[in-house]
Amino acid sequence: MKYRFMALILLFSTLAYAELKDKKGPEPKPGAQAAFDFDYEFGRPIRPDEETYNQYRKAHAEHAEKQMGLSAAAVGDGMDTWHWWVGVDNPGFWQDLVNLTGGKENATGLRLDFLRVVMSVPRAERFKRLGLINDPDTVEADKPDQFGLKIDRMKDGALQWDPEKFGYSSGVIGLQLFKNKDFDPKKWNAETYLNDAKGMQPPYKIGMSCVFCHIGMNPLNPPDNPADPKWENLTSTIGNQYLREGLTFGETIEHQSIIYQYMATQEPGTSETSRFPTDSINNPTNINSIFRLRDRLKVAHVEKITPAQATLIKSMYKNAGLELDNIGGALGGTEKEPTLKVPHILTDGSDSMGILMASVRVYVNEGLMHKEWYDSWPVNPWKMTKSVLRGFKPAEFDIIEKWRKDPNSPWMQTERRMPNMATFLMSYDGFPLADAKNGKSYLKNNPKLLNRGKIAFAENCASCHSSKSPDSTITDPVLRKKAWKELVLSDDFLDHNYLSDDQRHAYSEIGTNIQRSEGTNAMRGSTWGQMSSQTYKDQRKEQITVKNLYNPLTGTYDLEWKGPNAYYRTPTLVSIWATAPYFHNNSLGLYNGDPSVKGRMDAFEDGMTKLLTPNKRLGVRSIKVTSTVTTLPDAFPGFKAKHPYFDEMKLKLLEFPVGTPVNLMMSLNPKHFPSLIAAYVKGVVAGRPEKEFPGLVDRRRKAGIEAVKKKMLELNTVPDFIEDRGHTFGSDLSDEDKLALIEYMKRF
Amino acid sequence: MKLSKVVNAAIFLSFIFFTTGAQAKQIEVQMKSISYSPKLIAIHSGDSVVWKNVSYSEHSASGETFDTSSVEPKHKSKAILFEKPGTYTYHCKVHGTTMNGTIKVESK
Repeated sequence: MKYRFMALILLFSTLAYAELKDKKGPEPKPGAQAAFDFDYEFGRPIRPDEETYNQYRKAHAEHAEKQMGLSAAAVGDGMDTWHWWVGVDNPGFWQDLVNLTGGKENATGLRLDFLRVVMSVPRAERFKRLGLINDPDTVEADKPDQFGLKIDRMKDGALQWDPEKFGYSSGVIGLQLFKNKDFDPKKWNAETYLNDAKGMQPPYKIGMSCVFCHIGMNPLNPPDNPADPKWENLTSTIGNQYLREGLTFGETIEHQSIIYQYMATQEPGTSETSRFPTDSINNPTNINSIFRLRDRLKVAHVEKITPAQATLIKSMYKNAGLELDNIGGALGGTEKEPTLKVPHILTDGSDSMGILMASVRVYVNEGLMHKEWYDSWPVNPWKMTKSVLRGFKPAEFDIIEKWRKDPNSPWMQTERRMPNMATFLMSYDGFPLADAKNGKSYLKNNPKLLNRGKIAFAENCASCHSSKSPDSTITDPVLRKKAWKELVLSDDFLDHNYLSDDQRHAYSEIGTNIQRSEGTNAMRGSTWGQMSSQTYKDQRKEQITVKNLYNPLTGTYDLEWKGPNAYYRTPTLVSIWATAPYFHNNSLGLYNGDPSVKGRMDAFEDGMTKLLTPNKRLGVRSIKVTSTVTTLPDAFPGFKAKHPYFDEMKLKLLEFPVGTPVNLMMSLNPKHFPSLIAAYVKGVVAGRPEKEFPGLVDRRRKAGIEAVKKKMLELNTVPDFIEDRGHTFGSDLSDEDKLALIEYMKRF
Repeated sequence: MKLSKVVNAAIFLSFIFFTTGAQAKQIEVQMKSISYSPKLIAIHSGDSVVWKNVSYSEHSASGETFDTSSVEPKHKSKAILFEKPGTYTYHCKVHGTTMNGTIKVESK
């Protein structure tokens, strides 16, 4: 009992300590003039034979107008937003994180500082180590600038925009530099900053734009050297399947830290979009490819929304200059029972209020209006006491009542930029393998084989993975099967086919790892609660029991877990040859980090083989486990200073052996921490009086850890550990059919 | 008498010609990568400002009452005559108000 009380004291004191350490970041205004003005230092001039962003933009916009009938001006403006817009104030968000984590005494070891990343990771190593894509409009700095910063420099002549609005390139596409109005040259020292950024304002803040995650190597024309791409080697919406988001944040943390293990085991090409407004589930999701958006919108779904949401949507459309029946989210229904016709965005289909809402929401996740956003986080590191007092419950980011009142707020400004950005996103089709360098050498010209593959697709895949479908009046199973076959065999089946029904499908149907679909951020009362439809929320009301989950402590499939019904939206198969690994968590198949056509085809073949032959998958080996003995972060310096008896607890000795599932620890609500400590104590004393803990802990530590692990499993938010399970459709096909299907899918 | 009138007229005209011709100046402002140099200049009414693009990208000098429109790189230039006294702020249409300058026009 004493130790349970102590554990509570420990938690509260720690959080109070964090509160005292609160450092409020400065209000960011990228558009504002820096108080201390200085000139950006450019690199060498552009060479006549070098393509710049401006030319890349112009070529794509003109192509979109010619081939798709889209306005070149709108596509170009939308591309600027996609590439450089940071939602006005997100540099302030990232600077707040620097202020929070940049100190040397940071207990977690985590340093969320992009300026440090672009300075400390050599240009030649960024892609290989972190999957970051170097900006072709920049060159490596040959010497430090006037502030001692060695950041890549834009080629002279490449800047063709207002840097107050869009920033200067940092050298990494999607990370833009903005002059910091709080910079004081008298207080600045680059060397000190790199060692301990505590309380120091750098000359530049870094903002994040959409391309940071979404730009990737062009599958049709990959670079010879991925660290040195030209614009012709890039494409803006395929999604960076090589991005190591976790390592970008956590590469420098000591490997013994659970925080490092959590970051390092995040799959390449995924983004943990619920990292900051946490749902206490470690569930990174793949960065979507954006193809054939216009075809996708043809299968948009009518969903219920609330009258308050309908009023909100009307106001948003008015601000953005959109008609109420626009194809990105047509308003319908009645005043009392309004509806919206929407695509299902995000892997769980939770983003269900139309393209405009989904687009601006992403900017919030990148730090737009972050001061307001923090208050919706279950764990707000700037207001830890309040987080504790409300039991780590989230709150809604309130755009209905609060955050859209100011017409010049970052949200409202961003809203107005979205229609052109949507037009830009509509301008991308897929990447036919036949058009890639040596692509044809991977295609077998065998009509019989292809025919067999088409039939296998019609019978096993098409009902979900097609935006075209037979006449809905054909309901007889035999006749419908025949109709599907005829449709898939038709010559134009693949034309303008989004290759997905864009529907949410229940976990019980798909069977893939359930963690992502159990995310709660789009539920009422959570961060994105106002940005999901009523239909989505209603679908999740039903409680389900998930049986036969793998128990990593016993090695048996005997875990049972109850939770709300959960869904995954069907992903598109367009250009699937170029987008491996697969599944919502990029866990299925080989990751080789190789964007060449051969590299992509190797990953495709491996991923497809494992998709269709589940016993070739990693299975239990896909569980994210620690690579070394791991400790919980020593996050209690303030407490220890005040309470000498802390050492009695020896909490720092909560060491977990190699091979411990990372999600045992990282899918826990922080409200459970006192219970874990209590379990540790109980495990050590094993029925003896708790006062004997100090004398027993050294020789019974292992028993204490085992007790903690059991408690972690018991309290786990979603104890589903095998990442590459489920979606076994097609597994009962013959080997010949599987090969034929794989051959056919190369054409997608 | 006639001669003196002619001489006087010649002297007057010469005065007008030389004073106006001598005082109407052309002042050069360089358009650099992301700045004007000099950033602030003082001129007299009747003077012209010549913006010369010495950078590698297109620029303009655009104020409320004047606009050079696009000035191509590689030492292309454009001139604007300032007749009315006042303070004129301007910026580059491509690079926004980050690239800004001021002209103070004083009466002669």
